[in-house]
Amino acid sequence: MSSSVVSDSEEQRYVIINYIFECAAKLRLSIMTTASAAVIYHKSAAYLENTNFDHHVTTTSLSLASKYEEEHVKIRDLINVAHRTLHPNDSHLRISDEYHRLRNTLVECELFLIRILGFHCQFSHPHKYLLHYLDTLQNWITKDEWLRVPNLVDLCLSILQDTYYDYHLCAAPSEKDIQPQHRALTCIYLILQTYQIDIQGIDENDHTEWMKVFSSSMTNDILQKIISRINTMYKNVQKSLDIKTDIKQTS
Amino acid sequence: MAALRPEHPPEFPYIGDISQYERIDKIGQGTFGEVFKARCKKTNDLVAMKLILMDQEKEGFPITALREIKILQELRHDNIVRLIEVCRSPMHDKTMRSKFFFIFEFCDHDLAGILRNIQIQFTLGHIKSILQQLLDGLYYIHKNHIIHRDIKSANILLTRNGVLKLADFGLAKVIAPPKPNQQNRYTCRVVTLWYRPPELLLGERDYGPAIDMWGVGCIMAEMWIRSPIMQGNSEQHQLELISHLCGSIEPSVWPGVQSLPYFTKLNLPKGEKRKVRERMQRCIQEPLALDLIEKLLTLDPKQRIDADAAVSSDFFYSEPPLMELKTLLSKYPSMFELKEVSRNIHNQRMKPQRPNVPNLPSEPIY
Repeated sequence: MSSSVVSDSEEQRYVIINYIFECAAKLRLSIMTTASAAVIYHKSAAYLENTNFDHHVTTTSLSLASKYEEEHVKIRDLINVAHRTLHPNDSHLRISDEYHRLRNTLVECELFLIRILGFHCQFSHPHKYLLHYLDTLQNWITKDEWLRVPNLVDLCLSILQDTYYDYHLCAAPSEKDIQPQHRALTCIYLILQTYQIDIQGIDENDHTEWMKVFSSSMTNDILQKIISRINTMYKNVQKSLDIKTDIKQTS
Repeated sequence: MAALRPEHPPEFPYIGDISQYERIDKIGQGTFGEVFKARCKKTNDLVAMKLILMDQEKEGFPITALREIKILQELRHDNIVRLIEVCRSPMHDKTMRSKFFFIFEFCDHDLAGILRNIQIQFTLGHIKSILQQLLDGLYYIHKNHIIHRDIKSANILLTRNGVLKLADFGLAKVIAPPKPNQQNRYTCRVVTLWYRPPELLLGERDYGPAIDMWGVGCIMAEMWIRSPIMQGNSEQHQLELISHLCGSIEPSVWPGVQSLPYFTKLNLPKGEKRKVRERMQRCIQEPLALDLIEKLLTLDPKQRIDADAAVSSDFFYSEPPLMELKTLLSKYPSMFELKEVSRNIHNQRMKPQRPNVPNLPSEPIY
């Protein structure tokens, strides 16, 4: 999985996740609900025969995530936002046969996705780990170093949120050795490296030392694996979005 | 999707089929729906089968059901009923929909059923065992920031081995820890009326685990009195019963109560003295038990004892020691409130001339 070339279906996933992020932002959903929606989509898509852009499944992922995370969204708002995002140039969706068709599809599709998920609705997200680790690191790193990058927490969270573009990092059953703790640590590592922030008493060349304090199962291999996944993702997401903007329109 | 023809019923992979269980008997009926006793054809294990109500179909899969599933999957404790899986029925011909069922481990009795059966005599050791297990379960869920919101004797199950299981998380909710400048706004229309604490009756919407502890107090007294202790028929009546037992609801015993929404809207009895001990002494001789009931039935939720403190109270660490329920319960066939009530009705019809039929609910203490 370390190759930096992504398949066509992966490019499509990027577009779909981007669409989920866009709808979630418009609905002002929290990052946790957004993350859950992405995981629900990734997990469901693994069972779907066709990875073509299916806006019903994406919208349903958002609807389910909002229920799981107790951040309730009115079904009409959701349908409107999803419709508008998909067809930015169309007129507003009125209460019409089309609206009711979309709504019924959403309700049916919800049952379908719940079954695919086997009613398991606990997703172990890395966010809480990331915040705990940063809280501890704040006391470990010298104050001057820490304050050098004022929005350090936000930057880490942004990278973390972007990892949800990648199926392998957040939902693939084949990548069981990547735990949420590892993803959190890697996001912090990338920011520390980018800004050359020193951790006292830690050898620059072996960052797994401080990581093992937080998660003993972290290894250099896992770190490199996640970094290469993140790099691939960053290299390709924008490109995919530029090329594939037409997918939404044609579906 | 392929055309649906009867000879090719649609397949639903990913989730178990209800046909792997064989229904035996109905064991529960309430607003939440029906519960059946069933047997797994493969393993021969007994299970309880509860239908997931899908009344709000317009909004998709009910959020309450998802909440219940999520909470049950998160909780793993000896004193919490174990969810085995979620199953579906075959598709309905007309609506083209399936029904969904929770499959739980089977428990032989519910506490309400046991309490209605007057033949069962509890020793103090038995009562301690039941209450300790109940408090253990509640301590665990409260520690996980979950409140049950429907504590009552019918929702407390017991296996024939004497293990208590807290059940029915249909109203349970994950709660946010209290924040100084932001109030939670939960619904106050939860908990069965007879077990509903005064703060909910007065319209409090920013409540916490203390609401479950009031229910424990009611159940604890019920262990001796053998029927629900405050059987109100309206919110107003329930508050009157509470005031008669626990004294008038006033800011002097409960600071801040005057700011609750219904404090001025309802007619609260004035000048009542607290008579918990006095009223219950007739049935409950054990002073340490009375102490604990006093602390559980505290009007002010902030002063009410929490599960942690209750489970370490002297009541559990005094003579006589806790006694296993296994020998007591394994002798009897299943006792469920549903069954015990119908058995009572049956007995009444059969022998109307005898006034003291066993199994009749005993008189309430007022």
